[in-house]
Amino acid sequence: MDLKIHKSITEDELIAKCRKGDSKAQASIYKKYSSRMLATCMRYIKERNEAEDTLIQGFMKAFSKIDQFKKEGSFDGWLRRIMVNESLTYLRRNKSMYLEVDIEKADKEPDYNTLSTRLEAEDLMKMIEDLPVGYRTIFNLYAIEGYSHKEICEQLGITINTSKSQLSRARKMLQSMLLKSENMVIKKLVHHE
Amino acid sequence: MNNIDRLFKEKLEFHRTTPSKAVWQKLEGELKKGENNKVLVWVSVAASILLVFIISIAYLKVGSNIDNSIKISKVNQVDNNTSSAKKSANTKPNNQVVNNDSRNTTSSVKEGKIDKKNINTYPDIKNKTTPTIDNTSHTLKVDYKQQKYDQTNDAEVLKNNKAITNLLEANLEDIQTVSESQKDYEISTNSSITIVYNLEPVVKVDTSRKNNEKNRVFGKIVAFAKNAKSSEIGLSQLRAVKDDFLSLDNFNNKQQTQK
Repeated sequence: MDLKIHKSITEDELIAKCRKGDSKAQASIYKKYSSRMLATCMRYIKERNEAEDTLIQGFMKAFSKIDQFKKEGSFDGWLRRIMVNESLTYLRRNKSMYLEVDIEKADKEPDYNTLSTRLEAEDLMKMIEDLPVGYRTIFNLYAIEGYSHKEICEQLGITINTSKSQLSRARKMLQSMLLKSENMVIKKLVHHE
Repeated sequence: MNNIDRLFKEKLEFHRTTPSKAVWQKLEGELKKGENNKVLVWVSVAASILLVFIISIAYLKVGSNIDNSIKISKVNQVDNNTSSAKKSANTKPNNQVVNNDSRNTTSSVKEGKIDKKNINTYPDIKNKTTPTIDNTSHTLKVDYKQQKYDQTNDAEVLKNNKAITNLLEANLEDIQTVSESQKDYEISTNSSITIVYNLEPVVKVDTSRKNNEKNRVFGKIVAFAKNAKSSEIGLSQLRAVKDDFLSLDNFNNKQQTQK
């Protein structure tokens, strides 16, 4: 408990210093959040270089608009929202977002508990990367960031139906990917036995 | 919540990917650039404030120079009356003269070479005003009527300066007296005197001349009237008086305005 209080004070102080343009405080904030923020950007942008450039843009925006951060929410959440917005801006500029692709039909549901213990975050990241950009964006926004369909529509300028259909297609695609990896896991287990 | 969603959220929400070191260097560079821009803005603001300050100082300085030139023109108005008034008012005669050497000054004035600087140190004294010296503070107090100075009237100032020289030469004795109390004038230049000038000294000379003429003409009329009363009136006399009267500037002006 003490540790938690101490931690929050430190972060508040850091943010206060950032408001004054303290470069050391900015470095600390970067050190603390950059890896999580890069992972966020990379869920949207496959190419690492592009994701890193977006990360830089995101931090620039965060430091310049740090006065707008209100202590009601977490700094982490505020920063991540900035990163998501920057990523969407990048996608809007550089990609044609909504590619319709044929989806292999998944006939059965994988065992999510087993997958959860067997699969690493890196494996799941790989699956996300393999999604077409439109599916990936909407799945990220809805499933991981927790945006509603309404928010997604406003962000991307699409209809709610498009958002919903893209989400269900993304899920189906991921499901088939998960089944494949489940089969591979089972095969490995059998092989070991 | 959908099982797929939950799986991905649990695994990826707090996932970390450490960026390369180059990313921080790039970001730091961008931040410094922004900081430099801020500094540049502040420097330019400070510079412009300084510039305004310098300009205003320069302007004030020019203004004070104009004041000096006014003082020069003012000396023109020092006439016999004022000098004698000054003499009587000067309770603390100081033998130290303008150039700290009485002989030099005297001779230089005699030769008509009057140092401008020294003229500047003279008090600004107007006709018929009696300056008084406060014995305790040694400040010269003079009351003058206020008149606006026309800054563009440089030619007149020059003219006045010439007139000053003439006047000073003419009233050498008085000027020496004035010079003797230089110490008091130095005090006076430290703005202990509020000086208000009549900047039309030359015109004023003209006016007095005109007044004399006016008086002369009116005198003629009065004499004519007396003569007319006592003896016979000649038509030629009458015409001469009429012409004289009409030649008066004031009368002419009046006629013009009526037109």
